[in-house]
Amino acid sequence: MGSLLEQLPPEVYASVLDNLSPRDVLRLRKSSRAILDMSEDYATAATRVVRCSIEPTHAACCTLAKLDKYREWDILDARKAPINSEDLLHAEKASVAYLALIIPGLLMPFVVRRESRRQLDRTDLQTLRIAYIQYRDVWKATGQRYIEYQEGGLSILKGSTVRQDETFKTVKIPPHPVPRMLEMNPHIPDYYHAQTVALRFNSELNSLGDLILLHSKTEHNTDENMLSHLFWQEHNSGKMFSMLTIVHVPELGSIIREAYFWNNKVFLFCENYFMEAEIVGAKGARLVVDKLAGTYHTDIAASQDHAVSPADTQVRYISEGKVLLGDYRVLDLDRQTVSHREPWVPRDKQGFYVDLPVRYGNERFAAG
Amino acid sequence: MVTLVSSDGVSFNVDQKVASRSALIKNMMEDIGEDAGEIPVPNVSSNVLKKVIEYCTYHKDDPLPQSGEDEGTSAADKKKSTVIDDWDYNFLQVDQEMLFEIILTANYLDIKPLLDVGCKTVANMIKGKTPEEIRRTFNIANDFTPEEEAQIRRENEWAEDR
Repeated sequence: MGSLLEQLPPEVYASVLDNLSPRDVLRLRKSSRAILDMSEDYATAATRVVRCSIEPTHAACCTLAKLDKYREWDILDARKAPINSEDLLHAEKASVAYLALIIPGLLMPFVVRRESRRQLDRTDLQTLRIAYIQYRDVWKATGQRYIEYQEGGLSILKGSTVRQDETFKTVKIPPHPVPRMLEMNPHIPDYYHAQTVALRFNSELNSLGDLILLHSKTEHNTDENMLSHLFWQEHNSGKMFSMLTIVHVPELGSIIREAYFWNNKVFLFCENYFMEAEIVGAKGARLVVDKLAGTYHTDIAASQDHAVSPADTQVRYISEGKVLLGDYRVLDLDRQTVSHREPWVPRDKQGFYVDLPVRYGNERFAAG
Repeated sequence: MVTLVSSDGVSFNVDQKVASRSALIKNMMEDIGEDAGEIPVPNVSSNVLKKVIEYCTYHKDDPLPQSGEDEGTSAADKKKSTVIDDWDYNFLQVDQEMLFEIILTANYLDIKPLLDVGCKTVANMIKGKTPEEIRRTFNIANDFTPEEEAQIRRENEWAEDR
């Protein structure tokens, strides 16, 4: 017979956890697998509104960036960044810090704002850390990307964007391994990340010319929506183009992950849907697009009788208008359909999809 | 008076005011009416039911928690009131099996103050302990593989105090 603690109903276990400090919760989690599972259920409980709002996204696994190694703490307006958690203790009111969650293909920061006048203390740091852990658990369990967490003098806002110099940026990093450059310089120019991503699609550049996605920059427009600006670079000359500005609602997961040209259309793969637009010409350095249309991946999944998966919107590979999604289904951009999962799909022990090198040939994807 | 019958068939005659500390029984009494007669409590043994009745008797004059009172109360607010009343503290100085039985019964019978104080007691048994100490306290078997333990340690070590 197992421990009585392990046999508590979830709602009772949650009541116990409500009375524990973040540090104690962390220690408790390490005691057994059942306790760990129960703690993760607690973190994902939908009724605990202070902890989360649901937004599905992708991803097979994630790596928690270690505090010192990746220097994921940063205080804005403090040019001496990066700094460590001790510095955060003495941060001024309303200063903003970000943590980076490094997952394959994406550096995912989330924003933390100090709200109280008093100096942060170690309890606040623990609050922050437990929020981070919970965020990771929620994300691993459900694919939920955003978390809203407020306690004490801290408000932890949401994932995916970082407020920096009055703008919001979304940055990308190569999938594997976490680049050594990141350790040396956390302020890698966006170009570095974006070029790496864009190179995947060089073979797909078409009559638009050798344009590659350089980066996307997202900023607040109003309280309710945001603007994403896409910038592109001419492959040979290095000339910059601004291309497209999209108004979107961040809660709908509109942060752009990938962009792709196909048949004079541009396809933008956002966090939980994709969007397409016809390119009708160029005006100066700006591409003119028309017939913008958005489709939720989950809608596609539902229409195809697939279970909705957080992996729906991850793009593993694109070729000839076929997109290999995070869960190894194939999205056909021309027909707007999603195939059944490829039979060779590998999963790890936890059931997450394993990242594999993928090739495309004879109109199908294959491992290798 | 109302008669509560435990899972092992023992009857307890209880004042309606005492029984009403349980939202479940209160609702049953309201549904059945004055002639409530015997109310079976099939999930609760007599020794546990006796303890719970003792709690309800002592607290019979306390204001009843309002329905939904807890909603909107943040975890932070809850953490502020981890102090346990002396009588409640002594009441819950029982062996661990009884403590958990009381908690489960409070949950089943919907006696929120008892559930809260029980959970606080368990939380106090966890506070400040290392994972190994927690295992010893609650007789938890460490079923992590060495690799998983190392993985958990790696994932969480940055969150520990340095």
